[in-house]
Amino acid sequence: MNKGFNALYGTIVIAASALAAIAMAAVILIAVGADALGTFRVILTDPLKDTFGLTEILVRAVPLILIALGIAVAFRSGILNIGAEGQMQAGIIAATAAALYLPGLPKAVLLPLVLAAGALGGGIWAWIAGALKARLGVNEILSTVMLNYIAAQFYTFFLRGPMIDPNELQTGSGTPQSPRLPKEAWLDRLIPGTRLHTGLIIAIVLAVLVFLFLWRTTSGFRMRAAGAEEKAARYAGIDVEKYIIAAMVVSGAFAGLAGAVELTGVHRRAIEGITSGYGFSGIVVALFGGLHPAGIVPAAVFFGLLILGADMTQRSMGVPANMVLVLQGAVILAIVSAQMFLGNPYARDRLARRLRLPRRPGPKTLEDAAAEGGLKQ
Amino acid sequence: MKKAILVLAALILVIAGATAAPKAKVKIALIVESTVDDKGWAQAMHDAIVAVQAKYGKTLVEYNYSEKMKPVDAGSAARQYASQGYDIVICHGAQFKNLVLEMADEFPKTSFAFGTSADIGPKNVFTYMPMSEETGYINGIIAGMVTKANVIGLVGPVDGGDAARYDRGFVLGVKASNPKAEVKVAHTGSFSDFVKAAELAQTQVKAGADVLTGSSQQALGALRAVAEYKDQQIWWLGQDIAQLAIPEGYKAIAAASYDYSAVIEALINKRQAGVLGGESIPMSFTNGGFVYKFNDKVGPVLTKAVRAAAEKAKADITSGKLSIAWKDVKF
Repeated sequence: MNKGFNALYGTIVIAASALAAIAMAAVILIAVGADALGTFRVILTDPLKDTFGLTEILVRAVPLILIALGIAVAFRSGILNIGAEGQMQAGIIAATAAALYLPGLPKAVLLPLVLAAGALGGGIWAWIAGALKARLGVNEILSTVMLNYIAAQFYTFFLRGPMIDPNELQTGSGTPQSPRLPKEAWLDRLIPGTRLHTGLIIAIVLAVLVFLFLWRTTSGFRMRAAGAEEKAARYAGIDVEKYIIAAMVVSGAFAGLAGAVELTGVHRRAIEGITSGYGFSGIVVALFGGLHPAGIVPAAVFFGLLILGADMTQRSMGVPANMVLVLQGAVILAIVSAQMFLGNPYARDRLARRLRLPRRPGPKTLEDAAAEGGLKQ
Repeated sequence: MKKAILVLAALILVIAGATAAPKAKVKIALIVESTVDDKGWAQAMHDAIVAVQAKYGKTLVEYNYSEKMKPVDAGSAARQYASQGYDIVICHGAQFKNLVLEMADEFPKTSFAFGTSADIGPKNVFTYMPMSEETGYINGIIAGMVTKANVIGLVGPVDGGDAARYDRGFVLGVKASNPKAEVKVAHTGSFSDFVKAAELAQTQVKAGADVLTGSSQQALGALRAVAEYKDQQIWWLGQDIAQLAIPEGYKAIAAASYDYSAVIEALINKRQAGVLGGESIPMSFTNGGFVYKFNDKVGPVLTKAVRAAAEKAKADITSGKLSIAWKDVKF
């Protein structure tokens, strides 16, 4: 099995998944009487036509990058964090509290405090699941999913109770939302007249830092080792439980920070529905990005394009909103399936055997292992 | 006397405004969190805009809508509409208040509207507030007369906005027609949680309630729960006329609906008169904001006395003879 075959295999998988996504979407669109070709054109090109579209893509990419980075840290460390949605809400509550109850501070002090509070809130919420996993062996998928529900109820409670805008009570409107944050707690807009904010810079910087941490520090190596093979890591003297908890806290902190960035950069007050499902989409972005910061950033931008483009189709092509969601689902399904096939050496081997190609010998060096997606110090 | 003349003058203005055709083409955009066929909140607004469009023609009224809008997506949609030259962008739901206030600064020439809210916003923001205590009161009058157990169930979404007004008006209506009756109030905490609404309705029936009501889309779940008691005298009072036409509607004695046509026409006329916002438009029986309908197929439970009492309440509310102090009701 040579490099040429690997390239061909990759091309075939990507082409097949793209065709499957296009076919699925085309069938759906034709079934509802929509112009399939026009819809594809709108999804993939309309958001790229002007500053508005480009900035809106990046507005969606920012929380996706942050959450996916946290998910990558957890997954690489062998703990599955499905609770980013709840951790994001916990971060928003903490960040809102910091912004509202620490008035009068200058922006240089208040804004970092608000962002740190968001990270702290998400980290504490994730610590619960990490500690349960490390100390009691509680399945983290169950605990993080359940903690999402609890966080949602707490979030609603705070917005309808202690944190509700007093103006809502005076007018009797009762809209569950916090007061507007002071301007000192706002992230600046990068381009006037758009919603693109400095959270993008934070996300890019953190992507670099996550790469350096996971691939260039001893702690990062130990985390990945604990995730790659727990027993071997334990045998090598790594305190696996400690790193499981640490990975979960870091992962939650990223989700909490994503919430704080969305709060201070886009909405500037806590409102219902602020998470927009980013906590779940972030998992898909992390997997699509190969659990690596260099993959996560472009994956998040691509997902931002998909979300915005699909949303635009209902306005310009008259595609029903529910069908837009189905389209998004079909495209994501195809992308994730392709990514899984590309990362699965057994599927590639099976195809090579059928084509009677010589098998490639197993990895010999750490570099080879890294090329296969394994460890690298 | 002066007050009466002022009210009459305002009425004439509203009616006159409501019937004037747009002087020039107007582009209207609607942003909703659910869908325009949700048999409730969003559909009522969509239907009204379509009706106004049908009345004046597509050359005068251009319309586009965006469904399933989460807050971040609603921001994109509203920006796109405003930059595409839409004159009026309606963000239908109080949850869009934050978005509208931010957009109003960035697009000062566009008129934005959101509701339900009685806020008097910036110069280019309209709000609209259904005075739902009126429909609640009439339903309450009927519930108080129909109940045999003197226990009535109310399944609300949240204690806010027009739902809070409807619920309190309903309690006052019940107290007016049957002071001995007890109203059991419960909230699902959601505008769209049909399952929870059904569970709450079941609980209230088990606690003895024989007449139930509820508001917003989630109330459909409560009506479905009531409809399961086929052989029992358990009845429903609706806040959407569409509920009368569905299979479960055989349990509904009457229902009210919002008619946003008056709001849409007011928005168009005010904008074309140079008023871009800064006003709150109330919806009431007086300005045609509500429609009330009895279910003639419901059977003997809808007696002449019940019908007459409801009609009288409606007439008193419309004429201004009856004012409903809904804010005084505490749950």
